[in-house]
Amino acid sequence: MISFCLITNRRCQTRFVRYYDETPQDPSAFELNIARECIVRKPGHALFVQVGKYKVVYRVYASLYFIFGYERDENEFAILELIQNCVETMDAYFEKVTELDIVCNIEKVHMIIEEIVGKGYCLETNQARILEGITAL
Amino acid sequence: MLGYPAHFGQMECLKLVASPKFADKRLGYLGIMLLIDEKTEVLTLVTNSLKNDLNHSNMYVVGLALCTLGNISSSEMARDLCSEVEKLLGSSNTYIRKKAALCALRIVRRVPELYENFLSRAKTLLNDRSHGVLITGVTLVTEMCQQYPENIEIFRKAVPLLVRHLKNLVSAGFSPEHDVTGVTDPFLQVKILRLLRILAKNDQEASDAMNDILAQVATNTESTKNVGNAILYETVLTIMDIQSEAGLRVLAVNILGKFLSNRDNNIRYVALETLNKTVGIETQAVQRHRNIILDCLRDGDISIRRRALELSFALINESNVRVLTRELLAFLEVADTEFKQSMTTKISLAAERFAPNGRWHIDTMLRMLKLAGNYVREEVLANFIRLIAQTSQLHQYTVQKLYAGLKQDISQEGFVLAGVWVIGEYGDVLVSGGDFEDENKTIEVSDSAVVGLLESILMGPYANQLTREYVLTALMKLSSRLNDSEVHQSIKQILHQHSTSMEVEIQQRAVEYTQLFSFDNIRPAVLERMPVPEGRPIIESSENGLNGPASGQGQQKSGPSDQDLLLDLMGVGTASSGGDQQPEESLGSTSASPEPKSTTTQQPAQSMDLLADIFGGGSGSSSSPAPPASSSPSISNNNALMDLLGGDVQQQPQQASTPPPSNASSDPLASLGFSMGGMSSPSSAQRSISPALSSGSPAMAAASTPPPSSAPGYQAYAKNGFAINLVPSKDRNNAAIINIQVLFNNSTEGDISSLQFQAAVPRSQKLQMAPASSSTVQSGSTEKQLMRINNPQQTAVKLRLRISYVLPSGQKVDDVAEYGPFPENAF
Repeated sequence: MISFCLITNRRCQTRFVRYYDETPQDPSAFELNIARECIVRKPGHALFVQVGKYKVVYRVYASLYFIFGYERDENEFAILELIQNCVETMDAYFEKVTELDIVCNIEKVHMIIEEIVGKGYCLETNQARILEGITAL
Repeated sequence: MLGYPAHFGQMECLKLVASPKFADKRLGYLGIMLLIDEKTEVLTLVTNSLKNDLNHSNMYVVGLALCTLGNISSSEMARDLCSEVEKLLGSSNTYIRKKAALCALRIVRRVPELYENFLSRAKTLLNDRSHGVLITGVTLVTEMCQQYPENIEIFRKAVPLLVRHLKNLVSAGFSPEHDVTGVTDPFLQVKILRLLRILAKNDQEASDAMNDILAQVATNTESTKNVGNAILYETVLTIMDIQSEAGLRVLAVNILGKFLSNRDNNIRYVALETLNKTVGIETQAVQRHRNIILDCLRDGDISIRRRALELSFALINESNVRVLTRELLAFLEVADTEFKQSMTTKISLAAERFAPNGRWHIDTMLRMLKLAGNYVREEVLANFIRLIAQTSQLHQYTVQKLYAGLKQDISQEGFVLAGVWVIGEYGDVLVSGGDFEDENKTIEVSDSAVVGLLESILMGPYANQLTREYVLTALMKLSSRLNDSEVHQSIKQILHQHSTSMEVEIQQRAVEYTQLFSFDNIRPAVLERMPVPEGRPIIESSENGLNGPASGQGQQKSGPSDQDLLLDLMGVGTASSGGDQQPEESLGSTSASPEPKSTTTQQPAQSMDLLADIFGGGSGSSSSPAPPASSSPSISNNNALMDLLGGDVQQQPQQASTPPPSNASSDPLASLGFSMGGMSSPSSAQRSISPALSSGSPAMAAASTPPPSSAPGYQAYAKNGFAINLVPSKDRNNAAIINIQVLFNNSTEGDISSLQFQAAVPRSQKLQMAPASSSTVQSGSTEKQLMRINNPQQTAVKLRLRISYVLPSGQKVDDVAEYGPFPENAF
């Protein structure tokens, strides 16, 4: 299961974070550490890293890093697809999502991610159904 | 909350949750999920609102509550609300069912005992049509099976259902609502594949049911896009884990091969990871990709380098050990510090196991010490020194090399320690060798030069206390090895300097050694050569954890691991060198075909012989499964075994080593008054092939020499007029194979019938038996049976025989005998 979901920008500022397992003692230090490992990697390198006890899959979109971390064995490619799915859904909802959108509408982002990745497992992948839950608000 | 403290919001959130408006509730629950975790007491206040909302009419509200419950429930909350969730699992609304499934999952993880409530519901979930519910249902079942393996039995019946789902997904046409770049709902496919893997792990029937669909998925999925790769990856993992047929495995390995040669680093990483997990099963296939893996060692990406490193170690076997070690040493030079320690340990293990000859072994260890001496563990160093002590013919070579190396560079602690010790021990050999060439430079050697070197190490900036202790001892040893009086003077002076050192140990040594100089008559005796130490196993730290769990069939990987080490350093190689399956003692009645390993050259390595000797004592203490205990040899049987030993006495190879310590237990029988001491007690005979053969040699040699056997070969058993002789010979084509002709000789008046002959060999060897010429031995005649033993590691050949036959009197005899080792000139 996915342990945490983290969105940061190139300057290691956390824009969105959600823990599905134990919250670490010092979340900001933890997030900084993870983000740093991902940011220093060059473009051609594999998108999978091991940081401490977590295996991390990340993907870069413009200036944002979408980072998913897990402990046990998971299919890395499937998680890459999941990240892609999240981003596409947010795109559909926000009409071309940008970092500013995430910052100003953080609660909506939480809701969307919650619909897609509920409690660490992939819950729903169909965009229409995801967004229907949000727009009911 | 993004790093800022937000406790003030908790009560407000609770108030929001209580409000009837959906928007408020939404925000309230969201806030709760973010601000409150399991450990705060405020959580209990939420329980009541959750309960009400779980029964709300608006499905979104229910969804909300389920979500919150799933995310942060504590065990008490879980127990309280479990029944509600169960009810909702059966609700007609897909949205609710979906969320309820994940909520149930969370509850099961928190409070494992509650899973029984969800069993029946979970089964119905698998039948659902909506993909969302299917995904969560499959996840729920997967998790339950992983936590409670008993459930696997229950859910196995669902395998055909799952296969059907998968088939629909794969063969369905374009479905707009689930499509991701051309593949229908890859997430669901991956989840189903994973569940299938767990369900069919040890079950042949279920695996058969899946063979078709796996093949179909593997061939039809496009691998150009990431989605396709995801599915292929999961498929390969599944194929490797279940008991699939050979063709399917070949397919899987081919896919991995394609992955490996892809230029995209992601894919290569995944391929390396999977190969790591499966290298124990499909070693041959993985060997083919060795070159690519070695290339990956030099990749710029550290993730890839790590994986490639682990894989390389797992791939080492006798045939490629030279090449691979060379590559690994080259990598050691540029490796990051985090790798160095584990690399040195593993390289030394691999060298120990697969060294083609002593000189190569020493060379490799030397090179390794030079490169990374600072990171070697103590045991590795100790083993290296032991190795040097054992290969006496290479003493001069070794000490010269170490001397030359030290002249160049004294910064690597491990290297310095080893070098100093060796120069101390064998300083005379070094000096008597005179000047020598090393890498086209002549190195001058003289007494004073050697002492000068040691002095410079002592005074140098790299010496820590341990090094200084070693140097002082070495200097002292040199004082008796070298006879130059000037040298003695300088040694005395150095010692004098340190007799006022602040470090207690150094001071003590210096003072004591200085005193020793005045006792010239006993000084040489005190400083004699050290006796050759025995073997001790290196326990590798749990670095192997990263290699992934062994597959369900419990097959061993062919790399060094703790278990292997313990068995191995006792001279018994593991069965998995080069991809064999379950370690077994091959009983003669099975016809296991030996894979001719004709690539190994003769291994005169005396270290192996020494260890093989300890093998006898070792297998008793190691954790190997006990060889099949025959009909328990009672005390009376000892006579028969004594006879055997009597017959074996003069064939004992004279071992100069110390007897294996674990067989101090050989004495109980000696106390019974038998003249032949050193016989292992019956219980230990059950445990191990009689090791006492070697330890009791002096006592036994004194015993009466038995009459030489009239038949050719070596007598292994003689009782009741029935004798078994073994005639060994080396195979012409393959040096590692020994053919043994077994001759059954009947010297009684009547016929001996129902002859059954079984044999077992030590772990590192494999046995193949041809059928006997007849199971009845006529009176006075001889029957034959051919055995072939494959002995790639050239360990001592010992046989444990189990014989059963019916005497002419009608009495059935069941016996166990042991024979071995064959003496050096046997073949």
